[in-house]
Amino acid sequence: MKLGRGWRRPFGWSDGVGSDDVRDEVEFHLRGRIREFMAQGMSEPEARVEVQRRFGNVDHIVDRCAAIDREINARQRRRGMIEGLWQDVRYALRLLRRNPGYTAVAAMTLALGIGANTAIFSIVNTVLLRDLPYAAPDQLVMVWLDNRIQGFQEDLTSYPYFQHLRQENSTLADLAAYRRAQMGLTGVGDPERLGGAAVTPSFFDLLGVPPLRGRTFLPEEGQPGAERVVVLSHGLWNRRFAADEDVVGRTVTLDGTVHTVVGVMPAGFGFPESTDIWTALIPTEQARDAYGSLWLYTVGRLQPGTTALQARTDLDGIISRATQERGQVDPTSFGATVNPLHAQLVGDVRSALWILFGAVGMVLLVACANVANLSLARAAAREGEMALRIALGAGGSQLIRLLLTESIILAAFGGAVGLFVAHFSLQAVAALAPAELPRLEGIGLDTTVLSFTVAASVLAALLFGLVPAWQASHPDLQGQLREGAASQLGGRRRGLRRMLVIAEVAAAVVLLIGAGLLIKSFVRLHAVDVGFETEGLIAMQLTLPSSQYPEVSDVRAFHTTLMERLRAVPGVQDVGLGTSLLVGEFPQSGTFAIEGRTFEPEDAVEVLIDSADPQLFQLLGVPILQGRLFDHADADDQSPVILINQTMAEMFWRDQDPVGHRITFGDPGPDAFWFTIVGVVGDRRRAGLQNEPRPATFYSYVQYPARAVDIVVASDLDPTQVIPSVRRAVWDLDAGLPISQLETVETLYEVRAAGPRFNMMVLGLLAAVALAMAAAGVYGVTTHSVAQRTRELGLRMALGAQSQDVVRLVIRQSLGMIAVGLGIGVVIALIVTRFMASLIYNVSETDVLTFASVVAVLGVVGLIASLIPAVRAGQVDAMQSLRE
Amino acid sequence: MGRIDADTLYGTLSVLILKSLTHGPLHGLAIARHIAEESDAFLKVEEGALYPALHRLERDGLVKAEWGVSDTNRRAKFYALTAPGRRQLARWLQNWVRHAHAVSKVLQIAIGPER
Repeated sequence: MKLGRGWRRPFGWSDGVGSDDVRDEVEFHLRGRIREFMAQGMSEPEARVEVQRRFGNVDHIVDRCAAIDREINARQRRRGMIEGLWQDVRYALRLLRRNPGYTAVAAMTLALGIGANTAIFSIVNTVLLRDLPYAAPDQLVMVWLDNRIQGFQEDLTSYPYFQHLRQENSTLADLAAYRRAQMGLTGVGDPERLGGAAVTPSFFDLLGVPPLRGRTFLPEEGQPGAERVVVLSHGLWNRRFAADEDVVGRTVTLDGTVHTVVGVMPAGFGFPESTDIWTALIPTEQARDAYGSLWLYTVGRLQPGTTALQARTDLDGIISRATQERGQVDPTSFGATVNPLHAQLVGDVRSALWILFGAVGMVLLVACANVANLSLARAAAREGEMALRIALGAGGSQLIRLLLTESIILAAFGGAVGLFVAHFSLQAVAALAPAELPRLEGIGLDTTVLSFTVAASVLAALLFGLVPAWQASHPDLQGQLREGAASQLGGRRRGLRRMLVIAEVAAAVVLLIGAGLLIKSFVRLHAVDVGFETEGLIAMQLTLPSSQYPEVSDVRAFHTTLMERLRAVPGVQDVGLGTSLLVGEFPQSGTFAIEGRTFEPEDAVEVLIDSADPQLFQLLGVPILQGRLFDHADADDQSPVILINQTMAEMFWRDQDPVGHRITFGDPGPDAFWFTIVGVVGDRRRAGLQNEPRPATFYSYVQYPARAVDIVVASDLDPTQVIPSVRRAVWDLDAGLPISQLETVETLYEVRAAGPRFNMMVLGLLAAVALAMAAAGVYGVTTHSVAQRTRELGLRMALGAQSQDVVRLVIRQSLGMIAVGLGIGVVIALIVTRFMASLIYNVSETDVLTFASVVAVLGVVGLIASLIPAVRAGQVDAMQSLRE
Repeated sequence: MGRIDADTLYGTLSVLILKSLTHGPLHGLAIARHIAEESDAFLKVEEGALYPALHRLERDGLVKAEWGVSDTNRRAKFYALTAPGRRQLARWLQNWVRHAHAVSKVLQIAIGPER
């Protein structure tokens, strides 16, 4: 039976129904059925109606089938893509294996860049980004007295001011005060000086950290006459009490007073920094009323929904009102400063870390530029391959994908090796980092850091891969296929490579200038007159436990004998002793009054109170400016004498001679104990070299011996020889006496300068890496351009050019490139170094000498890097190069 | 209820389709004829339902499809069992038998007391 033309499309398909394939399939079915029915004797229209009836809704079914087909197609496309990708990966791996030199150099360059970034990021993450280990840490603030009289915006608070703030505020959930102190622990094994803090009872509740064992302080334990209690840190509990489960209820002796242990804090709780033991703060009678006696830190918790700024307005008002109520003093002379705790803790290092992070990012950019440069050089060699691929029908996007796959694999290698680099750098950081770098204990490679590394690697791959990939996928086809033609593309690519080198040079300039400023600042810092000699001096700390040396006479006797023995040690020239002498972390201080002047308790200024023997001043070379040092007449039983420093003399006796005046500490009542000023000594710097000297007084050690002293030994021998003898001298007298910080005085100061040194070293290292990479870039581009121009150079020489001319020609081009990079770098550095103002000490951010030296160094390095290939170019054999 | 019916239908149809392909590749019309011979039930369903079922089996990798030429010398889409399809069919048949056993047991117990 023959079917008419109409059968080609027996069913008028509605527009857009299904797909051609599905329609054909269904039509085959329908036509077959119609033929069957007609064979059984139906007429064509009858058969058609019957077939349609049996089949159901044709449009609907065709549509459903087409939808399923689309799913099938999508799945196949995905599978095809994955297969394509896998192919690309295998191909890229093969290529990389075939060029081990390129692969190794590129991967190591990236590893350096990514590793350094990972290391610095993990520091930034730990120190700046991670939450503090307290409940709702965003609500925690440090509250300071804004001391406008003396110009300290963040000054300590006095007890009465603290009471006003705590009771009258409407913005804080609570406010607690604490004082830091070094406490001598005795009665549990060896005596030890601990970092301690005396805190008001609600301190722990305010921070929202419950104790691991026992309890924290009760309100009544902050009242005068309360039983003395302590809370231990997890570290101390482990170290000194062997994590004793029954430690609660035991007693310990702190500074000679028996305290009962009531609790142990969990691991990781250490506020304030490096505190091992907490006592309940009990203010003395005198402290309760002394507005001007500033000795307390205060930490507060904001009420939910309140900002630090609102709290500041609130607390500022309270301080003003309280000051006004006191009369006498200008109410505007004191205010309050409120800083979020996190910002406070990381404040000093925040800018340093962000700058290092910026610097390390720049190093990654330089690394990427270098690898891009390498790839471009290689791309030149692969131009033929690419042209062939395109001629064979590969699309541009396919080539880009292939080349990007290569980049990503390289970056993955780089990232993997970079993780090792980061791991070892972090270990170095942990060893070198300054003590001021807070919160470092939790540092390491965690998932956040790993994600960062992955992101950095991918970003790097895109950065260094995209440009060469795009370049390579658009080769000049005809030029390439035409044999031997010097393609114009070579020129374009050379231009691109020169731009990359210019960028590298510019980045290296910025980093070197940054590092240069830090180095100069560091040198200046070291050159600061610390106020005394440090050469040939050895210092140690000794604390005599009251259990073995109960009386002042015992202490004095021990020290007198020890000093005699030390003087007898071979090589020792002289010995001196004093309290918190050098850069003491927890200096004693107090308020004082001058005899004959009206005493306003509110106006009291805190001065440092130390004790020293006259030899100490001589040893340290501290000048005596007025009056005299202590002498034998100032014996134990004579009237008490005192020395003051220059700062104190200038503050309180401006044009007068303070010698002969008498001062007392605390309340100058009828029972006051007066000290006669016998001399004025030069200032010493302490607590960080950058700090300005503070007013200070010195008792005569002979009159007021102290249990905890620093002993300084002067010797003309090598310290390594003297230190063991000094130690033996101490232990001959008391074999169980702990000696801390037996070091040269210079070392003690080095430790203080750790922060600036750390910044300087890291930035210096980064700058060195950038410099090396930039030099490699210059060298690479020059070498490559010489290689490409061999024919041209050969021609020039054949036409009579001397080899010096060729060398000059090549160098002139390189230097042009370097000069542009230098110019751009200097301009960027001028902008960027402004953010470094807080890191550099006594050096202008636009220090001309630093800028000039960096430009000179880079210029010379660049010159050398281009000189090597240039000289090689000058030796080109004209005839041979033309023959090629 | 409707959903269950559709699933059952797809399940039943799928088994029938796979079963009809055990002796070699067939095009849709041939499958329809084959099923109609084997099962009265299918006669009561619209024939078109076969095609979405076929395409779904193809999507799930149980059959593969290829265009070829029919006995009448026309372009037709042929379906063939794949290895997973063969395994699936065996599994389905097994379940089927187990299910049938279970159902008949339940029915016996339910019917029991009336006897």
